[in-house]
Amino acid sequence: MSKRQGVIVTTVLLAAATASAQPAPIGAGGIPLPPPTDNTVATDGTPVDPPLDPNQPDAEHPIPPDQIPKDPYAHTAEPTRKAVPRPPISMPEVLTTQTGWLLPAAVLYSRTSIDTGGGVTSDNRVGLGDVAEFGIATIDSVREREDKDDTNVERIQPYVLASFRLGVQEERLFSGQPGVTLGFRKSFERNHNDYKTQIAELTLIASKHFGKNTALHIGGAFWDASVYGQFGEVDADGKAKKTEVTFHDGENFKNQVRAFGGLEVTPLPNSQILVDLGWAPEFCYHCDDADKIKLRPTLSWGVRYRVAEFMNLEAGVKVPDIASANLLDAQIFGQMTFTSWALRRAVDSLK
Amino acid sequence: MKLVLAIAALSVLLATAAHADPALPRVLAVPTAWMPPPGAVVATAGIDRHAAMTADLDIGLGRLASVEVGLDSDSRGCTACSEPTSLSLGRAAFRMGARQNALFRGAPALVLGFRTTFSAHGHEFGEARVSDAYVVASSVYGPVRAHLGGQVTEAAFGDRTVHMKPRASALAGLEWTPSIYPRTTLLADVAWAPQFSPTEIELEWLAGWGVRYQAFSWGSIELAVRHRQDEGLPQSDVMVRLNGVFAGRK
Repeated sequence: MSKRQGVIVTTVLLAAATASAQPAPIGAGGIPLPPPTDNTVATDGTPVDPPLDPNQPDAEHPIPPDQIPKDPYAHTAEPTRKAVPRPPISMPEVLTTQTGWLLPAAVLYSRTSIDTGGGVTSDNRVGLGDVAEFGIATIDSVREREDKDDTNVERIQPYVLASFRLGVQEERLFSGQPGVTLGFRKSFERNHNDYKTQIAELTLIASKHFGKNTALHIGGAFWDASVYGQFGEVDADGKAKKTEVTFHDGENFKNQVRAFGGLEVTPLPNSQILVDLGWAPEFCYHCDDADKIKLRPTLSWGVRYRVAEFMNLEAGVKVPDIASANLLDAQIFGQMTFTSWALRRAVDSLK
Repeated sequence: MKLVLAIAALSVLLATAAHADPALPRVLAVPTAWMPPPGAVVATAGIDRHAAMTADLDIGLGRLASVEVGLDSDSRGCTACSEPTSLSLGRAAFRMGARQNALFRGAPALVLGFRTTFSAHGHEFGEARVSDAYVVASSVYGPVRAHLGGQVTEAAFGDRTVHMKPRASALAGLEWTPSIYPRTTLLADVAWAPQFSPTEIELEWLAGWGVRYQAFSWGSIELAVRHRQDEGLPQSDVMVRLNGVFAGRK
């Protein structure tokens, strides 16, 4: 026997030994499959029934459905995604003021508004871990006037703000606990008519449901603002000088603090009546320093109509300075609010 | 003209079916307290003998409110003031209210509305603005529908150098559908609107009467005559108006 024949014989013997060591193929229900037979065709070519195995399933012994063998190479469909029931989202804003409710974690929120005065605003937020919220917004509520006799008060828009809010959800700590949020928002510097302005607002607000159909929001805000420009002062050389005036330069700290709030009533399943009272800064460039920055009360009322789970339509009336009782400055607005759980689903799928 | 055509086209696109409740938000000039159903659109387009156009699109919001956008020719202006002409003012309104019997049994429908202009063109009163807030109660008494309310109007133009401070006035309207002519409604109303002159703005009354014929379950046509303060019969306006009430797609 040559060396090559020895290798072949050894290989065959090893393969046979390995094969004989394997357990018998298991059929349905753990029943060993019968040994293969080539007796299905007679020597004369006529088909022959294979011998009956008493353990084989037949009409009297069907295979249980959960034990039907499956083709391991068959295409398997993607596992169907279970629809997770999502609770209704308590909105972080009434119409123009903040609420004490935060967006749920990784929920996206977007609101776009237009009004009859040509104002366009946008507010986009994302919920962070059920305890905080981050947002970027443009507002049109900051106004300017030349002097105190100027009746044509104009809006400065767009006014871009970044906001961060943190808080505790309603009923989280104890029964009856309102949702409480501490928020801060600050504008980017805005250059308009050669005056650079900035605003900042620190808010603390509590929101609570009373029954199924009513919710109340009450809070306080601490405002600050600054304006930089030429107010008529001259330097030693007689040249016009630019100076900065800030809200906190004023002697009365109370001028910066204001209460605000809102009310939501749900008389119909998909419709809410909303009323809120907020404040907005007004810059008066040629007023006395003490009056250069004032807070003006803004009253809004309207309706929120829930068109779909992810979409609300809101419309109403906004009175920018209710103290002046000026109907001509009041604006009718319409806004669309979208909420989305898409980011939350994506985050959940990574877990 | 473009606005009228756009509103008419939009109405046809949105139209699918009609509904039977009273839904028209005005008699002739006086607002009613009827609210369109949610998602429904009430479209109106009209013209008077001076070719002054009116157009209006009223969209229902959740059975509680509605938003209106349109073109209005109720206000007038004059430079010599021998023959004032209608001013075309783009207008928007927000109306919020309660239906009949919603507050208590037998309660009239109530609406709190606010209207304001957002554009003005075709006249010499630059930056003309008219805003009014109103409350109207409407109720059905058999074949008669009655509307009663009040409004506060403020107007200005020219950077508010000419300004009419808020003025209160009454609103009243009546609709009667005789039982022998169930498709025909007789209309009458009285309202107040500003008249602009170079030096001042004053409220003037305007009274209208006419007929509305419900040609289709979803649409009607109105023929009306309008009289104004300090105006003789020859100057009275004759106007024709088309209304359509369309339910939103379901």
